[in-house]
Amino acid sequence: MLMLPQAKADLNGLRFKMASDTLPLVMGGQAFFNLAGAVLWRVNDYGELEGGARLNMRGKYFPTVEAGLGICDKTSDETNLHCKTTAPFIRLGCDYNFSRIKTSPNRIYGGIRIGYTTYKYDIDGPDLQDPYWQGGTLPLKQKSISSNALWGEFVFGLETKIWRNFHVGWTARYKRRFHQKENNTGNSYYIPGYGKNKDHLFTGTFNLVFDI
Amino acid sequence: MKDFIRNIICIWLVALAMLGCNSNDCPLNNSVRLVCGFYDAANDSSLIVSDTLTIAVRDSVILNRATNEAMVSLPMSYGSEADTLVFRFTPEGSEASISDTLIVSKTNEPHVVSLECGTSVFHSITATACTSRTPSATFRYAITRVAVSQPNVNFDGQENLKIYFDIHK
Repeated sequence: MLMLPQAKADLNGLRFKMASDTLPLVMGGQAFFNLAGAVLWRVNDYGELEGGARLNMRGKYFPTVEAGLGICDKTSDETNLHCKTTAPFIRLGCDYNFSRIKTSPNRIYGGIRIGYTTYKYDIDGPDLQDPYWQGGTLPLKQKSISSNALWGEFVFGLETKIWRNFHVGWTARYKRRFHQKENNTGNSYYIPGYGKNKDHLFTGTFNLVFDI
Repeated sequence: MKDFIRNIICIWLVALAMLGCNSNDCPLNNSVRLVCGFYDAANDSSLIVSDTLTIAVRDSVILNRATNEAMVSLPMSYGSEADTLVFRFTPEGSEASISDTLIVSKTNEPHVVSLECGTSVFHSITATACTSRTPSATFRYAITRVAVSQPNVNFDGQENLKIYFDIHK
């Protein structure tokens, strides 16, 4: 029987839709670890030891929780100023799988996250020299400055199966800071779980994923 | 499958290289100055002081021979709890001068703009005091009192002190 290309595509689309509608509500879960965060921490003065878990709902929706430890120990080459922090963070969100075949181990997904951290940081550096009033100096050494931050993320990611229950995948993320507790001494160089302290930025993750 | 994995790794490496790019967005206005506005004590209106004005601290001059000013912005000390500012007025066409003294008590708080952009010192004005003098025909302007309009001295550039003058008519 001859079938027009458009009709064939429609039929395939219908098959996929029926297949995804008949999938169970909860199809399992995944645990993952962000390898990139750990690498960046070793090579870049700051990074995250970060993992997470997500639920697979009908192969479409993936409610996700990500948590970890943000670490920064940075000294500026230009100014000799130093900032140090180690603190936990959490992100909650959901991904949507755009792949037509919802049961495929290869996934293309987009999602959102909301992140939060409460942390303390140290700032120190050379004494401040008064340029006008001769002989005046002010020491710069502030310990345990308290702060917190809230931010949102748009996530785009790819994932594929590599062996048995193991997958690898990356995500690209656009992050925007919604709130930060300001401090007179100055804000921290790095926000745990967010990254370098800017209004918005792009980051990424490279995940090792395990089907539960 | 192999192509898919290869694509994942390649795209991620490109993204990582982009993340390595860095830029410093240091603020252009990063000077911390005490902004003092001049006012006529009789009617609380802004005042242009026509005398030549020199302001000194200890043995340094921080404002030299300014004329026709309605406000001045001055640096503050990093280490002292109070700055003593000596305002020296020289009338136009005269060699003689007269001085008023203003004392500004304040806190000194180090402020890190960012690790790349360096530091500044912010202040919070806690008290002010000044000498009081009666103006004369020769020295027409005399500081009579000072009011704090904005105690926080930082990058904002807002007026911090209102200096009121008695003027000889």
